[in-house]
Amino acid sequence: MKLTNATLILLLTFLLAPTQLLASEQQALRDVEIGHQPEEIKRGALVALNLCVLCHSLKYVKYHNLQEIGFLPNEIEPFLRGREMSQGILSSTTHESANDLFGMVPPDLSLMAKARQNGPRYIYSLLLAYHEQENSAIENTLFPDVKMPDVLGYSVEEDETMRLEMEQMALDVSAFLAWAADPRAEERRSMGKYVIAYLVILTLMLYLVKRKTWARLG
Amino acid sequence: MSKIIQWIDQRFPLTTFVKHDLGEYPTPRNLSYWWNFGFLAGFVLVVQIISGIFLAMHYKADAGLAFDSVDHIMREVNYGWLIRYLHSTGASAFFAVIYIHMARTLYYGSYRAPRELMWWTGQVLLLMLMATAFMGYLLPWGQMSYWGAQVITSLFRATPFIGDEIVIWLRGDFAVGDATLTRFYALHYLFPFLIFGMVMIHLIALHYVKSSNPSGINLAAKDNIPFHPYFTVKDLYGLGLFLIIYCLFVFFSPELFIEPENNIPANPMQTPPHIVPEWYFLPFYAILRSVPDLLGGVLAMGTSVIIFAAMPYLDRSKIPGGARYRPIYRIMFYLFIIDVAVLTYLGAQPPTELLTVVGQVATFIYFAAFVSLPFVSKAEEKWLRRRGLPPAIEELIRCEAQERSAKSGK
Ligand code: HEC
Repeated sequence: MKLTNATLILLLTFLLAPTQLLASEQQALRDVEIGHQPEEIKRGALVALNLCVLCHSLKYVKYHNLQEIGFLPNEIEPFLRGREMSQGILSSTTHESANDLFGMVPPDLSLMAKARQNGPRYIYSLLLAYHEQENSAIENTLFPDVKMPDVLGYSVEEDETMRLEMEQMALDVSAFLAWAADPRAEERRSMGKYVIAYLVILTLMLYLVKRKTWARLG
Repeated sequence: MSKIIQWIDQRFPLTTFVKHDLGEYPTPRNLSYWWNFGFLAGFVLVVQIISGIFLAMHYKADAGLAFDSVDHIMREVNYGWLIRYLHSTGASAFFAVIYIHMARTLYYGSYRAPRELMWWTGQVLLLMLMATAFMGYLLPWGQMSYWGAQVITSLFRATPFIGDEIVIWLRGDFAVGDATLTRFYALHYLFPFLIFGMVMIHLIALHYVKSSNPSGINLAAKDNIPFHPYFTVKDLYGLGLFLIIYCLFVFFSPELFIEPENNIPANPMQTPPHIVPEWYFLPFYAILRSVPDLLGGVLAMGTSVIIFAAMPYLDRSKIPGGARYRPIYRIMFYLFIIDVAVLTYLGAQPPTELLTVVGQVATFIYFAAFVSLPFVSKAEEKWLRRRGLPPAIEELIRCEAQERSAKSGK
């Protein structure tokens, strides 16, 4: 039994070491629960399509994929801008003009929620981390010197209802990007429940068979 | 049906094989659940091969297409996400199972005569597994894939005289690139089958020398029971437990084993803030970093992996049962495990002055455990004998000697 515990500890250390590392370097992310509800994801998609796509692409998300989160084909059409439903969502800014504007091409957002530790929470926190400084320069506390401007205008907004609305937008777009990075997550989790339930029952039965078989040895 | 089997049996020892090596194969009845892990390793190998072949049907080994093709598997291929997560989680599961299998061998002294060849074929399997995992990690062509391969291949620069040539030869180019990706893919597809062959050799050796067991000696015939049904059902029960844990990761936390950085396509122009290998390489990586000199570090890392092969010679004690009846060896075993855990932790940390010192101490302890073992094990045996062995162990040693003389008399 002593060995069992030691090995469990060993195993856990192995499994948790990488997570430990990343947790330790976690910056101060806002503590928030990112939603999984279809309405939130759809609202977030509208924020992304109207705002983020001005600069960013979402090339692994195809326009017709938006139907999976409740868009009707005629709701998608206004965003196509001459592209096909089966094509990925592209930015309305070309690479050249993005380079002129920012000195870089803004990163593709399709996998962003998986490409940062605690991705959805990171995106939410990033969008709201803009502050106006003494010299009225806008500074992002989470990502100093970020080349993305304060796209929501959060840093200069003073009206409390507007600020709450912007926080909601940030929350929704984070929910959407979480979906965009892992659109099969819901399917995976619901399938997982059945798989685990099946395995638990199977294992229990195997245990009983094992006990019965070994009982023969006396 | 029986006619067909009869026909085959006259030409191929099918029934004899099934009876001899699966059904009646005599197995020590006192095996604990720690003896389940060899079977589990074989199972994971099969899972990896099957899921890998399905991935290969959709994957494109081309620096311009690899990342996109993995994303295509995740989004568009039917159950592609499942196949990929089974495979990526399977790699970690493989190492977890193998490390426990090795720890069991070390604890119970199963590497002792006559099982040295089992231990050495196992050692070769570990090396092949590491090579396969390392090459497979490049294939998604993410940032960590790319820079991991860049860092590890550049270690070969430490080779005296021809270092640079070796690095270029391995990569097929001056930097990791398309040539590296395609060759890693070719070898990543080949190696599992070599591993499979080596597993067969491992099993042939096993069926010749038979399983070790917690007592540490070969049991008399009466203490052996047929493999079927006793161990088939025990292995299946263990498999059920394993699958529950494995599937919890696959379905609920599969990204735990994929660095966030690896969801960014490889970019040769931009080094990630810090490059971390997969968890199963961390202890060895920590040893590499603990030695200030490149050649020294590479040698230390290589030695830390293959030094296990020396165990049958380093352990000089004649007391059977490994750590079970040997208090000092037992303490050493646990200290070693803790040391490896510390190294694992350090391997994932960005180096600081303090951590470097801790790493050097941990590296020293790692090697000291092996180097001191011949003296410690001899001294421990003397001390135990002087103190008087418990009758149970005396009995075991007597049985072992008897068995040996009976064998050599034949
Ligand atoms: C005016 C153009 C513009 C718009 C609109 C815009 N972004 Fe950005 N975004 C950028 C640029 C430029 C960068 C690159 C920042 C850098 O690396 O310094 C960036 C980077 C990012 C990053 C990555 C930060 C990191 O850690 O590297 C995220 C996440 C992001 N944007 C999210 C969004 C979201 C969500 C929206 C919509 C609400 C949005 N952006 C709208 C220009 C824009």
